[in-house]
Amino acid sequence: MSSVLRFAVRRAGWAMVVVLASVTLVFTLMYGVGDPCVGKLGANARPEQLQACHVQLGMDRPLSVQLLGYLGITPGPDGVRHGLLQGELGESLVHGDPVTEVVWRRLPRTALLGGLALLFQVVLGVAIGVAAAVYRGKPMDTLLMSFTFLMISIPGFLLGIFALHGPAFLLGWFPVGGYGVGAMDHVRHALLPSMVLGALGAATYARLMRGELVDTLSLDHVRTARAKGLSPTRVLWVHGVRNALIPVVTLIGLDLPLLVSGAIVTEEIFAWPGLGKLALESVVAMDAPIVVGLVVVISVAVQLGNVTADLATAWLDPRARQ
Amino acid sequence: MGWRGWRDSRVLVGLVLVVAVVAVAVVGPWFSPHAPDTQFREQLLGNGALGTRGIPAGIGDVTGHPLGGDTLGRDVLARLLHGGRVSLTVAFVGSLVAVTLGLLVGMYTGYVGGAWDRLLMRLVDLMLSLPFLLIAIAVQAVVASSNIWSLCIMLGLLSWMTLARIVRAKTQQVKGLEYVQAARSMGASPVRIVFTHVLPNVLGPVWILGTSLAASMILAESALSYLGLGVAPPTPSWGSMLREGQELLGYAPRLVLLPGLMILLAVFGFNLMGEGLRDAQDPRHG
Amino acid sequence: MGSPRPRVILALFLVAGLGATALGLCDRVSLRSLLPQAPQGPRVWGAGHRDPQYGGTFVFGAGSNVRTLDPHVAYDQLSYTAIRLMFDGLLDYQDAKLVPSIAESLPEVSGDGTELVFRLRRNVRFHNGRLLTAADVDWSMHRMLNPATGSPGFPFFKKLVGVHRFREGTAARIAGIEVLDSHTIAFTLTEADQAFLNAMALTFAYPLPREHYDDRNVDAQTQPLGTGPFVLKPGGWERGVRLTFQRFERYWRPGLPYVDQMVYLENLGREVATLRFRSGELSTTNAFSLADYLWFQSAKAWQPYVAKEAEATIWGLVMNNEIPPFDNVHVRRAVAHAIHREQWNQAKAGQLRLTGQPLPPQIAGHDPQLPHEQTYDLALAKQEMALAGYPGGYPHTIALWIGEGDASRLYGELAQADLARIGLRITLKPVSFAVYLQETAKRGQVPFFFSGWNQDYPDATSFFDVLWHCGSISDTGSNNTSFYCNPELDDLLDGARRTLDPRQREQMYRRASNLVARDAPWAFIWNSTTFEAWQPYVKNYRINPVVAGDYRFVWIDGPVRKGDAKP
Repeated sequence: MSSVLRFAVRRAGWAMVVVLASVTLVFTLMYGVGDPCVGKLGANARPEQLQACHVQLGMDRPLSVQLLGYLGITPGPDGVRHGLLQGELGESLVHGDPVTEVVWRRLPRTALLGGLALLFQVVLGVAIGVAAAVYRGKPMDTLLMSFTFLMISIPGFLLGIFALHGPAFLLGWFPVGGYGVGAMDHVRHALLPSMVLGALGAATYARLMRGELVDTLSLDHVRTARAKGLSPTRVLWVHGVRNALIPVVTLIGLDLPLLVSGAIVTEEIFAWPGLGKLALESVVAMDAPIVVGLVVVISVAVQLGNVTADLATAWLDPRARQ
Repeated sequence: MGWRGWRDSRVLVGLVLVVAVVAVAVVGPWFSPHAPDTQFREQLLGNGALGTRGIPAGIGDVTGHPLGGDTLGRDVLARLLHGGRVSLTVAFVGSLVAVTLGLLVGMYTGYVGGAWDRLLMRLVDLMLSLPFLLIAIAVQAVVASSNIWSLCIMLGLLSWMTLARIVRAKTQQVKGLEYVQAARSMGASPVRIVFTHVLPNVLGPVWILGTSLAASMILAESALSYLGLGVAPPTPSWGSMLREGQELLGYAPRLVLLPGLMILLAVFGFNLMGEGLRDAQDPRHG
Repeated sequence: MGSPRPRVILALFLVAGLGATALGLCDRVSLRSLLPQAPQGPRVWGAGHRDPQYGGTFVFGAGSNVRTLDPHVAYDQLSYTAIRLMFDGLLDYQDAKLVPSIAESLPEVSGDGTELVFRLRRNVRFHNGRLLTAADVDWSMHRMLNPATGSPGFPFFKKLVGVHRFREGTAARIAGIEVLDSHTIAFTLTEADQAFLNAMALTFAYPLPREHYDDRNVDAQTQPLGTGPFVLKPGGWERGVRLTFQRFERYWRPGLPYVDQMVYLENLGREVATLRFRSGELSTTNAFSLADYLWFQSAKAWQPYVAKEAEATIWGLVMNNEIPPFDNVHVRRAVAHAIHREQWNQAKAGQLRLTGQPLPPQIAGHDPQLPHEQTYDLALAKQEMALAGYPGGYPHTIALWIGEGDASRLYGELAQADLARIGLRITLKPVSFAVYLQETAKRGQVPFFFSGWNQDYPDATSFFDVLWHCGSISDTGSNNTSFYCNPELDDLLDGARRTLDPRQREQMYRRASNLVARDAPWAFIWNSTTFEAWQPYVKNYRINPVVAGDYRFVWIDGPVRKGDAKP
């Protein structure tokens, strides 16, 4: 029990370190290297306004003081502590909405997109991987593996552009970008972008799955099981797939940052109003609070995902459970 | 050890592809019929070609421009050839930065161990949890210089971690070998041991990872260029050509397909090479 | 082992590669025949009603953010589009002419042009149900001109008597604004100002209800309350994504508006916008990629539903007159004559209306026979370079600042190639819009940049007085970004602003145009056009030449989806 607790505490501590480091990095980038005030005032900004903006944002103070203020450790320019520790992420410089509100509104959308993509890549990846392993050495194997290889080598945005023009626009199978109104409509709009987003993952998992499965099926105890007369299907699923899933699940956890990167491009192409599109728009507009807030939320989400993957690995792998 | 890999024909195919693409990028510009930024407006935009229904003149329409022109009447062949230089420079220099850093950190932590080891490995874990593209676009937007070298360095600094981890593990393994232990006890300097025993042994994995790194660098550069945060305008790169070509996608698909194909070829080649090398080293994953 | 046979991969790969190459090379001919056919006409049609129909949803989009819904603060087209759905001004524009809106009629103007009296309609209601009175106009003008509001509108109203004292805080009220009775209000100016009436049609002068905007709990940027035909739905604005408006039932214009709901999508990229429009998901669009622009020009079935309209803008290369080599008028002229305008237009598929003078054709003062019109003339340009003392070219490289979009890049590269021919070496410096605005407004900062100016109202003052008057120069917040200062021009402009006789005024602005074209603080290149397409079911829409995106009074002819077939 205590070891579990210790693990949990250590894991949580580490997650906090990661979040903190990410925030420091991006905060320095946005406020130290760049100047968010030029993003705030937008069209028709007058330089006097810029000066005033620097004072208002407390950017006349040293960067370290600003960072401590952002974290909520020291008071902000108005003398009140309101930062990360207080659960506040500031306000957008472009439009003044609270960052937490903006991010919370968009998080479910990216979660929907990412969730569907994950589902898609795991299901399709495992299916292709199993099929290729079963038919290994046969033309089917070659075909599937060549296909996954192509998916790995094609730039995601190229795939997105073609998907948007082909299946969506020309064939009319999917909505042409956007988010829709109502839950079912959201899902309908999410289908194509999530497939594009999940394509790379599906290919990666398929290749990994095939490799692991080929290994596992040649292990002694699996051979023994087969020799004992268990049905090949049962051997495949119980002994093969279950074991082979372990590295795949571990990889899902580690791949989450990759999914975030993919979401930026995919959401941009499909005009999907999620965190990725927000990230790109905010970076271009130098809307620093949104960018830093996004990094907070994304790194927390990634850490949570990692922990979940760890737990899932433990559940799948009896050795790890003990 | 790693050299066994050359026998795998995937490595060979990958190598041929990579060499071909590299040759196109290195030698191609010398044979390029035109400069990449010369605008042949009279020939390729003239006669209201764009104004009526036309596209910038296509293949066969204009002598001396086998692949036609782009939106500005620039020779597409010349731009493909020169654009390759930029994309591949990013791939090679970026990977070089990542490999160098990964090697240094990996060998140091693997060989010396101790507090720095723990600290640096923590850094590796940390950087692996960063959303790569988000950081990259933030850096590009803030720096705003769109300079090719700063792009290389940034991509390199964001990609050395996996390599460092593997090099570290390999170094630890080599360090534990009996003959290395013997060499140490005979007073060989750490530097000497690293160079004579460790380095040759880690080169195998470095080759494998280096090739797939190069592939991902090309993809990253093209993604950044596509998002409008790549190299500065007059310089062509395959990614920026693709973005510019999107403007005329319905009319002149070649403006998108050709640079897209070049990216695909290069990435495919590097990936194939890496794949083959890995399997050759670790036949288990056949 | 079980490894996929490399030779098979190679073969597959080669086939795929060759196939893609072939597709790439053969361009549209073979590709078109291989791919499914894109719809050649609208997918959604109108039901065929002749009389206006009520109801329906109108959906449109924009490529960027709506910044604010506070009419007194907004100063960009995208915000205007939203604001004009929800607010009315005393005056409005119809086909570039001033027409009364909340005012019963155009104001009575005294003989010397310094006193204007507006009479207001008695049936104008705010969205909270209260009737509008002259006191609302009075309060709103004071709110807008109060420096605390942060409105960029002050320069348009600086001729109001007592406005400076009010802004300095030495007077509680602006002396030049007087409420005569509940529905009559008078404005007094220090001298005749031919631009003042236009200023009264800007959103800066829109009347707002005091009880709403004085409420500390109200965020003026996001919680609009006006007299317009539409109301922002509660929680109807998700910043950066979409705004949803619904019909205001008690709108003062009888029987209007027609549609129940307006949806305004933000940050919609050009490619997606056009594809969604062609799929029938958007009611209208005005952002096209080059390919889409060409396609819509030629798609027969779409011709009744597209329109091209000249915009009153001026675009060109701005040269900072205080920074070498552009402090030399000959270099500036050389640049103005080196730009091959025809070819620029070819690269933009004929979307530009080329020009070589400061005012667009629809503004009085534009001269079709301008003596010093800037035209492409390479020999002349080289001559000017020689006169400037650089017969062999300018020895240093000059940075040309451009915006971040693809279009700016294209123009930058065109300029680069043109100027290389007269020995000016140019590097391109792409910067974000915000940085560009900030830096170009500073003295001695940016030598050379690509710029455009959109009129605030259809009058020559909206160009000359802002862009080339010595009075618009300041060290850090200069509107005159070329830092061109010519007392002769200033005299002309100040005189014209006071002049009441329109013909005499026009002559003065023609002289001013000639002066500015000759001294070439800008290389004038083109006036833009807007190209718009709308679904066949959208009725009663006409492009408003002064304010883009005026969709207030469209009606929807019960859309019918008929696939690709014509009805």
